[in-house]
Amino acid sequence: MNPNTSWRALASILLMVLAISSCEEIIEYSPYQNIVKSKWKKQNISNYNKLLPVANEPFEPFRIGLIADSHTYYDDFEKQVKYINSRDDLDFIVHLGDITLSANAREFDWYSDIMNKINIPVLTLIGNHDCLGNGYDIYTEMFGESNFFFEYKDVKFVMFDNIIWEKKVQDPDFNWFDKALVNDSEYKYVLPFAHLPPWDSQFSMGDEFLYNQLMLKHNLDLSIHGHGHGYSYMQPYDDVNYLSVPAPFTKELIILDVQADTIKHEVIKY
Amino acid sequence: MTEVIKYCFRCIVLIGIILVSVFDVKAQADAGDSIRTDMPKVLQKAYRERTVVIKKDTITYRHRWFIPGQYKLQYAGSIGFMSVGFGYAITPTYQPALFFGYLSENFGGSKNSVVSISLKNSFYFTKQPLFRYFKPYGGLSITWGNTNNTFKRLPDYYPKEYYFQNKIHFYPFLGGELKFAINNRYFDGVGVYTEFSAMDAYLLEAIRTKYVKPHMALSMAVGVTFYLR
Repeated sequence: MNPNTSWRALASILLMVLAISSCEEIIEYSPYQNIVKSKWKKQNISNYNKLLPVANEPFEPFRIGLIADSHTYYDDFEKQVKYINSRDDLDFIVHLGDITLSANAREFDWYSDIMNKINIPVLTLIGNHDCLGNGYDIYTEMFGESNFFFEYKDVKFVMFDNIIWEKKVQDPDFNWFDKALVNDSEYKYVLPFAHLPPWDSQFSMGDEFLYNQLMLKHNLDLSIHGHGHGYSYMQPYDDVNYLSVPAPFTKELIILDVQADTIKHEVIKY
Repeated sequence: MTEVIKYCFRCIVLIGIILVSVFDVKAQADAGDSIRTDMPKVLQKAYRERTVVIKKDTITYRHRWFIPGQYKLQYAGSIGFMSVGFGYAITPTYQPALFFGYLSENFGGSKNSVVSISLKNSFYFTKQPLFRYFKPYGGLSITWGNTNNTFKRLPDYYPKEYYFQNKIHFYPFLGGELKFAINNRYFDGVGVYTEFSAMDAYLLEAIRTKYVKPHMALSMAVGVTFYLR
């Protein structure tokens, strides 16, 4: 073969490789890597900051959207995002955890990519699937502390990381939860959110009992969870209401309607 | 734990360097077609010609099959920030290589370190290079990833089949190498390669969902191969 032709062919191959490598997503050091893009670091904090200064205003009724367990149901999740963006009555969204299937690095990126298409801020809880591999550390890099609380218009939102098996712990950090649930500023409501419902098999009988006891101790009558992939609203123990948020494939969106005298919820089929 | 892994990695790199230098000497010996006396005693013994008589034929052979003929250094490709590989030309078509890769905060910028071991089964598509230098290939890698919370078998407290194992992943790949002949005492060829692999889990999402486009499952690697004489 003519050497000129071969050099030209080689040069074009090299150029092609350089062109492809210029798109950064294609470089992955490991599916378990914990390398979070700077634009996606500590998103719970940056997204909460977007709620300011409205979040510090005194109470007035508001509505928020609840989503959960998006896993790798990306197409369904995108439809959900489209539906959320078609509404204008929601102040923000809470995702109740399980944003990945195997906590692989790109699954976190893909979640962030789709989630950021939502026009209103999203606060993301940790789920059991998100703790596989290096997921727990990736979550804390990408979203911030896994146990956190914030106030929004005189309502205290307590986000509780109650994952046990995947974090290789005996019990969730109930001490933190107990302190966080204290109504320390005359909040109108204190609303607890956690990925696992207390009746899940990860919870021991003691943990299950304790969870409900904490609800009773702090006079709370609503606890909100993900994990089950389907909608449910029930009172398995005493008078405390447990709301389970469905996964996107059900094509349902839960709207939490926080009113002055009560908290209602709606299940919207879209 | 990280310290131990770091230490192990340093050992592996050190052993790798020692092995490569030892093989260099061996390559030189081969070139001269006689065992050089400056080789380590063990290798002199290993490379000594042996004969075996089968019926009326006398066969002379050397123990050298276990020595890798290819030494690779790779960047990225989902098996670490950098990895070293040792390859064998089993046949002109089938040339597998075993890679050891490492990633950490100081070595690639990941807050968690990962040690990867990968068996890359490469099959070359052509016996003769295209355009004089280009050798396209493809195959399947089996990668063992070792970091926090990866498991081959689920710990006892999980219900059966709660999760799929997340320690071993399969990566089909396609790549190409530009191989040049060099006139070196130890090596007779050097290759620069690049390849695109897709992890099984990502590939599944690329097939299953519209959101994940095929290119979003790909991971690129670039590397060099040195071929022993």
